[in-house]
Amino acid sequence: MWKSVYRRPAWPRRMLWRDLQGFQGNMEFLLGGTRGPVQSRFPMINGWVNDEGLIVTAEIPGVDPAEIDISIMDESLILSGSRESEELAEGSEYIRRERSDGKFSRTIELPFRVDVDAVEAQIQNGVLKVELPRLPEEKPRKVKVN
Amino acid sequence: MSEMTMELEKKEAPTSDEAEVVRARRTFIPRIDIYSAGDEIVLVADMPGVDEQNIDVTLEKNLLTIRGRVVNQAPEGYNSVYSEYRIGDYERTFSLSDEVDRDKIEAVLTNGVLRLTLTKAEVAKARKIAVHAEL
Repeated sequence: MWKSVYRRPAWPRRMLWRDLQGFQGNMEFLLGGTRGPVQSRFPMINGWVNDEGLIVTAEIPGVDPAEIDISIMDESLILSGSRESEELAEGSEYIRRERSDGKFSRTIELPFRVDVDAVEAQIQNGVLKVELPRLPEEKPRKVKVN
Repeated sequence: MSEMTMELEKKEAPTSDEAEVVRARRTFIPRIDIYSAGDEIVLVADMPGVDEQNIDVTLEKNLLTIRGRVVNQAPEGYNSVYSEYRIGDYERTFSLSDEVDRDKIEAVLTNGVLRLTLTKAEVAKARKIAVHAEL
């Protein structure tokens, strides 16, 4: 009955490793070096910084906002949770399955210390956004040149 | 529950060789599940960043296309310092058989996941076309 126009891409393992190494070379601050390879890479994240703080976004479609746990330990941000798989009724069957489910946990090393009490998070349309303000002493200071 | 093993990157939709595509933004192929449930076929697609106003489901001839436009996520006044995933729209096309009732396609969007419910057509179940030989 169904025919998809596009196929699910097969991702070779070797390429994946090269990719990770590339990431490590470019941005040390978020990758602590102790993380395992594939399974800890969900969700994928983006990071933004300014003088006031850091914003981390992550794509977590289908994750119930109640099922995500955000915590800060030392100078790390930990995102963990799970995406529930759908319980199919009897007689139902998958014709195609590309989406993953299960538990995830991701530890992100922060570039500076943050004000833990002021951290805010929101989820909109399956995108998580965590705002992490800098501690006052972590804010860059302007030095006047006489 | 097993540990998540997700493919790393979103797959970008290929551009057509025949037609020039005017496209200022990236377009990705959303990951999908399709399952049958009684008289229904359910299609579930991951489209994070898309809201109800920016989703588009079209049926043209036998091609069902889902499109989602992503609203810019970049926070104002911040500099991007780290980027693992790219932001862009979603598009994917499926060829549909006659077994689906075209007037009964239901679409719901929750937490960045599109759910399309298609009903198998009553007519299709019993449709027979009589062939007459002309002399």
